[in-house]
Amino acid sequence: MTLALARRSLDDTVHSPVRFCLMAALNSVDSADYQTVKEALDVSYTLLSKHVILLEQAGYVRVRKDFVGRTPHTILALTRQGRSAFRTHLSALDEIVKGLT
Amino acid sequence: MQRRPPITDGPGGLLARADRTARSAPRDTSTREGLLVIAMAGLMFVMLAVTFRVRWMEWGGLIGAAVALLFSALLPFVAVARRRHERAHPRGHGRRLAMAGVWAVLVAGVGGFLWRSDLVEIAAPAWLTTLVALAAVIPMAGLGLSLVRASR
Repeated sequence: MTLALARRSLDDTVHSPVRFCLMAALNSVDSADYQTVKEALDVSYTLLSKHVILLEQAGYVRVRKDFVGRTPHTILALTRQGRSAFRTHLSALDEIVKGLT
Repeated sequence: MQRRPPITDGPGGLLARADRTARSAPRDTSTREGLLVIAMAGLMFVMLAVTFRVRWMEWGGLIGAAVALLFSALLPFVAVARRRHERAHPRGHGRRLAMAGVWAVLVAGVGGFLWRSDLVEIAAPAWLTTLVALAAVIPMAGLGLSLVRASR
């Protein structure tokens, strides 16, 4: 893979810092609840929701909502497509950090 | 420009290796969820242990029906509570939970065929039927225990 090809392999949907961290967190588990992810990433509900929606629309994240009383309990998980996109993105980054060597 | 081989599932680069390492270290699991999975396993154990002995019990039919009723009434509550306390699930948790369920059903089926159905009549000591009931739920209890341990 050339550097140029690696650059073109980067996925814009994954590449934003928050989405990249979110996908890394979800890639390491089967699923995780919203609160755990929010605390791990140290972002606001609003920001996390915005990025979750973008990833959900891209088909990378699956969202399941339950209610504990009146409080929503949201579970996030990467889809198969999401895991594949994240791995491809990591491979491209791995190639890029090699630079011209 | 010189071409390099693409990174595959082999040793890979630094990030690909970090990605693989991350999958083996679960944390942020829920103690309560783990305890509720153990409770589900416990309920199944009691139900199976009694069901397998019903034939040799006085008032066995009544006791068996009461335990089955209690099990059917309690299990949905425990299952819903487990879902409510769900936090992070380690990689492969869903598959392991499904396999533990299938294993429990298989062992329950064999035990039920041997000691509950009227198709065969094989007497067995209480320790053996209890041991088989225990074997049916051990994978599920182990899964609950792993969630509890990972949360600490």
